[in-house]
Amino acid sequence: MRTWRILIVDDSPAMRSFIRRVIQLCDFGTCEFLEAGNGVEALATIDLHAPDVVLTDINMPVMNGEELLRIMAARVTGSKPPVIVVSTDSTHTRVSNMLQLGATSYLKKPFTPEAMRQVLEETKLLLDEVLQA
Amino acid sequence: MSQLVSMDVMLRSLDLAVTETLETMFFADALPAPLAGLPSGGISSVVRFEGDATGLLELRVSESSAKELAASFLGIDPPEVDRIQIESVCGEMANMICGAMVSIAAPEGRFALSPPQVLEPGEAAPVCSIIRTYEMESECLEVGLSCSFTDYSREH
Repeated sequence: MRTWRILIVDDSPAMRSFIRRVIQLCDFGTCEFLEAGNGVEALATIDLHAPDVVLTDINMPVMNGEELLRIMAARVTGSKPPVIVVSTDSTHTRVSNMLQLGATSYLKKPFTPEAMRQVLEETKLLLDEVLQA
Repeated sequence: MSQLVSMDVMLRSLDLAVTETLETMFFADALPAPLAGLPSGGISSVVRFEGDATGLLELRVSESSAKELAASFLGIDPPEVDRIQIESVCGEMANMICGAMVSIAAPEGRFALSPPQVLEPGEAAPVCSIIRTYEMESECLEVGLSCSFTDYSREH
């Protein structure tokens, strides 16, 4: 069985811990978790560990989620895993902006384990399609 | 006058945001209740917002409720929760409630939220024009809100 390597990017250790627990609860599969407190740490972790999926907050110090997406979109080499934005701001403007920047999905906080599982399953399908292409 | 959102809408959105956040992320029920007035002390977290509406939201819970909520959020026993975790979780709770409130109130709006600030013990809390109380299993949670709205008719 495949182990999914999931990078959780959020400046709140409590929120990172919650997201990890929800993914474990939602029976998504075998997962290995990586964590980063901002976009800069996330980019370093992506280069070092090549996660399958990135879950990122938007409002973070040092480098926010929007900048992280911009940098990832501009990359021509290196790992470019799908990015799921997990944020309290679910206004249409914000969601649309993040999807245009390259996010594959948008999960609004608060969220249920079922909603988390759904975005992860959708991302898994996307990854399978890429692998089969 | 042309505003994207009004105070009535913001307050209804606040009720929904508190109920949804507590139920979904903290596995707790919280329903609007008559103003009870929490005892002094407790933990206060403040989130400021600006955009189509500008203001702040202050969330206040007692120390014991904060510990219970933090334990529930983190999935650990209350005695294992330390002060740093309690403050971090209270800040996140205020952030989620504020973000959900403005998103429900004005889905087409534009808002920017400040990082949550947990007040030091004894630090003066900001003055809020409206205070709402929510009843949980054994105690209450208090949310203060101050808000002004961008009037777009004045911009042209």
